[in-house]
Parts: sequence; structure tokens; C-alpha cells
Amino acid sequence: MGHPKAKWILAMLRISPLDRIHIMKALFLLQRRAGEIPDYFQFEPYLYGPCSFEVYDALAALEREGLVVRPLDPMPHWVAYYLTERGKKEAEKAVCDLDPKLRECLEAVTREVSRLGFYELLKRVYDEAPEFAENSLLKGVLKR
Amino acid sequence: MTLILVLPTRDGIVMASDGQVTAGMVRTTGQKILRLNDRCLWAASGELALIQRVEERLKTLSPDASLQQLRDQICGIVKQCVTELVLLDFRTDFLPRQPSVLLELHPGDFVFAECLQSPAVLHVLVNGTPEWITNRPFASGSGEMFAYALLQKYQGFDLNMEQGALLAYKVLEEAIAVGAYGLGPPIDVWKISNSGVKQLNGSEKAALEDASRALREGEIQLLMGEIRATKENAR
Repeated sequence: MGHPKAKWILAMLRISPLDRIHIMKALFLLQRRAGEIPDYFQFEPYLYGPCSFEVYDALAALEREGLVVRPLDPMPHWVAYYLTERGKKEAEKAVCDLDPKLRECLEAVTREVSRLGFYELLKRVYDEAPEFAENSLLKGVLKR
Repeated sequence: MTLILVLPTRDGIVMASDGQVTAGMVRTTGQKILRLNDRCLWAASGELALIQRVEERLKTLSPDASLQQLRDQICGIVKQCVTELVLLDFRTDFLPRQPSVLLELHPGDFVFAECLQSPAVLHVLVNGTPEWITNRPFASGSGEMFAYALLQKYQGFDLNMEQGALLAYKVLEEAIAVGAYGLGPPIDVWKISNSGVKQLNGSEKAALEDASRALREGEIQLLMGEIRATKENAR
């Protein structure tokens, strides 16, 4: 894999296809709940809550390598990423290397996030990590 | 077909454009925002032949001069290029000798942006007339009416550069989505501050895409929430 942190995304997509914002927030919640994870994504409070610019680089690398695909859509960044056959094999390898507790947490977070709509997802993240919502454009709306 | 957007903010200027270049029946992509020098950007809508000719001449300008100092030279270049094209054009001899008629042969609209002590946005019309754009957004090209309509509700708000970049991105995205005027991706976004110019990279633009989606969802939720609240109050 071209990007050293892409394994986390593959491990999540193994559980469920997710769009980009769901991937971003799931990765954030995993760190939040599992505690410090070595060599993990660095998040900062951005315009829509916690954001790691590395996630975009990792997704772009996975697409270039043919490990994930997105269905054609006029708004490609709104649609879910799916694992390709090669991606599924890489995802299996990625989860084998994970600590069992961390793997359990990752799977639980992915399932939880995949069931949430966009609005509910942001609300969950902002409730859990309000300090990462400080720059968010939606913090006022989500409080209502 | 083009949409160029210039958005002055509290700490600089955001400049954004669509990325579709249309030549006859053929559609391709291209860079529409260009560097005049290390501190100043420019872009244009209109006829490609005119824009290319102006671009060639702009390269001869001093890289150290400010936009204020270059204003009349830029206007001279635009006027000269239009004049040359009109004289070269086969159709010219068959048209009435009226400036408005002749200028319609080679449409063009030029905008320059620089931020030294304060933001400076210069609009140069195809006839060579300059005007400074102060304290308001500026849009040029076939999608300009979409942009002004989408920006109208933000008039008078003191945006920072991040908010400005998001707003510019969202306006471009929505104009591309609805415009039947040959607008298309990729969206290009630049920030101009007193430390220079910076083009947003892929991951920075991806983050803006997601923030733009959040803003749209927020608008919808706000409206639907109000509708739900109104219904509940009515019961």
C-alpha cells in the first residue's frame, strides 16, 4: 500500500461501504474511543468538525492503486467507497495485524457510523468531542 | 464558458474558477487562474484567442510593480490586443464602424487580484476601461449571475479566508451543478494574502468539498427543522 495509514480505511470498508465524511468521522471516533494509536491520523478542528487532511491523501492513494472504487455520480465525494477484490485481500491483511481490542473497537465504530445519517453523525461527533466543533459552521445548527 | 469568482475577505482574497475549457464542440479542462507575478493573480472570461494574446503581453510586465502601478499598462495591453484582433478579423470589413458592434466580435473580461497592505481587485473591460472592485465579491463569465445570486445573502459579512474559500467553492460547485453554460470541474481555488499566493492542493480542496456538503446539509436541516417545529406548534 502506497500510504502508510491507508490500512485503517481498508479495515473499516471491510465492515461497510462508507462515504468520505463517514470515513473521516469513523476514523476520528476510533481514536477518541480507543485512546492513543501509534502512527495514526492527526485531526484538527475544521469547518465541519474534526478533519485530517491525510485521510484525503490516503483515499486518493487507495483509488490510484485500485483497492477502492466509487460508483459514478455527479457528486463523487458524496458517494460511498467500496473495496475491490484486491482491496478485500489487503483489508484482510490489515485487520490481521490489529490488536484484537482495537479491531473490535474499529468494527463497532464502523457499524455505528454506517447506520447514521449525515446530520446524526455530525451531532454524535460534536457531542462526543465538542472541542473539535469549535470551528464548525454547523455547531449552531446542531445545538437546536 | 467560464465562471471566475473573486472574494475579498478579512485577511486576503480568495480567487476561484471552474476548470472547463470549451472550444467549439470540444470540451476539455484547463487552468484559468494564472500568476501575473508572485503576489498577483489574474483570470479572464471570453474568447480564447483574446485571452491568449493578452497572456503573451502580460508576461512582459515588470514582476516587481504593484497592480496600482501596472493598471494603465494592463489596460493598454487589453485595448491593443482587441484592436489587433478586430483588424485581423475577416468579418470586420462587413460590419458597421461602431465600437459596440466590433467589440462584440471578440468578447473578453479580465480581473486581477493582489493583496499588499489591503486587497486590490482590478476589473478591466474588453474596451480597456479599468475599475477597482472594493468591498464586494466579483464574478465574471457565463455563470456570473448564478454566483451573484448565491453570494447575495452573504453580502456585508466579515468572512475570514477559510470561510471565503469554502463559500467560493460552494458557489462554484452549485453553479456547475445547475448551469447549462458549459461550466465544469475541476474547481480551482487560490488564496492571496500579503505573504503571496497559494493554490489549494487536492486534499485541501477535498476538505472544502466535504465542508461544502456539510454547509448544504446544514441549510436543509435548518429549513426542515423549522418546518417540523412549525408543524409541532400547529398541533
